[in-house]
Amino acid sequence: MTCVHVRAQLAAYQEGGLRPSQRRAVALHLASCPACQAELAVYEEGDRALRRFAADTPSAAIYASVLQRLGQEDAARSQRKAHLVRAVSSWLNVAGTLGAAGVVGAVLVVLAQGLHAPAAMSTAAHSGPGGQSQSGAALVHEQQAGPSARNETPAGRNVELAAVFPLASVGTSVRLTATLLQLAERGTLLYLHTSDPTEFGQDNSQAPILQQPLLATGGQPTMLVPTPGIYSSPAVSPDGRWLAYGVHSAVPHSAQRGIWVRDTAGRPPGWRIRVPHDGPSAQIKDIRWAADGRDLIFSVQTHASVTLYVADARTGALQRQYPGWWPADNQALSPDLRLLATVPYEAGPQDAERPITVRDVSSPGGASWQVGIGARPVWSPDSTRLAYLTGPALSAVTLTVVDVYSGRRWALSTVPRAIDAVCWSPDGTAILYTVHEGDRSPAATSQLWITAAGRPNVALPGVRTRWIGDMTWVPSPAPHLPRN
Amino acid sequence: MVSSHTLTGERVAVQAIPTFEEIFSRYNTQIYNYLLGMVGNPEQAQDLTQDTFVKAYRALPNVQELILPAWLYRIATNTALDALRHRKLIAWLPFQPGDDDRYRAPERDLGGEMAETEMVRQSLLALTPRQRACLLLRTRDGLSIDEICTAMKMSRDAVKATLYRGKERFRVAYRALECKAS
Repeated sequence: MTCVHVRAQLAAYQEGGLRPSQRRAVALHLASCPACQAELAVYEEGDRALRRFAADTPSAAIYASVLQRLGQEDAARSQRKAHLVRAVSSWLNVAGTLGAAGVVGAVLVVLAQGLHAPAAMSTAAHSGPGGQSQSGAALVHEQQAGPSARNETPAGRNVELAAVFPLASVGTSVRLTATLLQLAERGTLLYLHTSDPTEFGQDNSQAPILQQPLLATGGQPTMLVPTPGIYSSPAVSPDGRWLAYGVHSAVPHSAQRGIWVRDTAGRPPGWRIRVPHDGPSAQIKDIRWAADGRDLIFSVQTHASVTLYVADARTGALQRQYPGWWPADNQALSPDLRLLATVPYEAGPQDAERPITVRDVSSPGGASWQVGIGARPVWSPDSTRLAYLTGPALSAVTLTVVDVYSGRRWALSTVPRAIDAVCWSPDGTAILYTVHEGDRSPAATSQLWITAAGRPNVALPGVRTRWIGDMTWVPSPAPHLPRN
Repeated sequence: MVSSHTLTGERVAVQAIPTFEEIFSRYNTQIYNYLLGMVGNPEQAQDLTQDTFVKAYRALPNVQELILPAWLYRIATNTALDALRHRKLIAWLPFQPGDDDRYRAPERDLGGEMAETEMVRQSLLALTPRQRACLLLRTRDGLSIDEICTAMKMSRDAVKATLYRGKERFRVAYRALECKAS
């Protein structure tokens, strides 16, 4: 073997990449050729220099810049969506004047769907985790600018939000499970509890409001509202500071009835908002905070009617009202107060398959479009998606999520029992719901499940309770809530 | 390790996965220095590190299996190659990768004072971007050939050929600079 041959193979020789016979031949030559040994030494010296090369510490500002860029991209995406809805609404107004609202509206809504998700409808219904990726990633950062972050320093906020891995981005089921648990670890649950589910939902049921970490490893839940009473629908404001809950109409003293708002730090006494139709048969349902943390959204249901209201959380002054369909959970106003989802009541089982319609109520004559078939819609915190239940009967219910702007749908989980108390995580990346074991018998219990973009659902072992009615997943860490 | 139940009640053990923040803290220095080796300019390396992690965050949703750090190196490599391609197009780059025939040692007098870092930096510039990537990943960052295949999206044979050719070219350039310096 000549020097020319050997030198052509020195790089591979040094990397251990030659066949044994070639390697032996090169080694043999090297043993007797100082010139080739010197060439090999240059390779080795070059390697050593390369290993020492570029050992700088990058600027600490890179991380903040990455988060900032992600936040800006998401904000821009949200603005594009909002702009499009406004454009559709205004076009519909014009078209309505011309007497052609239906046709133009349909064209524009289809156009809107196409612009945001070119393959929207064709990938609907059973898209995998990857399909949900953009919204999942986006939400974490949209939350950055939201009211819940108001009390945090910018630096602290970035770290906290970055630590919330976008759930929808997780591709394999094992990692999904771990990530859901990670998220749950950060959460606190407020829920209505009753030891006797046969009475739950009745006017005289006793349902104290309890607070417990989602992944409690022991100990008892804290009773958040100390006096057991007849409560409904606890809801914590986006900044974690205020708790609103309904006090049932069956309370003997009418001075107690209405929606109470109190400081979650436990400083008494809070205040009461009187609700319309405050009669003995009225029930206050589905209390939610608007995204700005100023208004409350709630429904008042009587035997004869349902009305959805928006009221100032501090003064109780009514801002808007919408006549609804019985029962109350078949309409929902988005937290940004722009979109109203309704499921028109028709004769038949409560969870029968009925069209869910979304209407833009931010301006008169706003666009209206159908987003799915099902019941009991619940808005995501960012007002872009609805979770709802579908299924021919209560015995096999599918929890579905739809992006109301693109029409994309994800069937999250099918459960062979009734799903109840659906609530979104504060960052909008996961959904919590209960499945009741036993059907409202005194021995019945509620099991909490959590899901994001597909299977597996994860049963949360921490919360053990007899029966959970309404519940809410509190932004975490919730600075004002008392610790267990 | 965390344990949990699936929908069917089956108990499963699950591996805790790193958060984005953890991925960033663990790999940002490595990625920055790799990109510094690729582009030879600290400011641009910093920008490309940002780009890499922004892309990584966006790409996570579609990842079926997260193989770190090869997956991250792949994004960084693509980012660097794109940047170098663009820089070549607009033709104001301070150095230009070339082949053996075109390569010439710097004209200026190094006066025997050229630091090792500068010699490595200049030698790297004699390589094509792909050769540079393979050499840095293998020698500086210690990736295996299989990991480089993942990072570069190339076959084993292609990686080996590119790596060996890169090593050879690096040796020629480094030797030339050494002679000049001495």
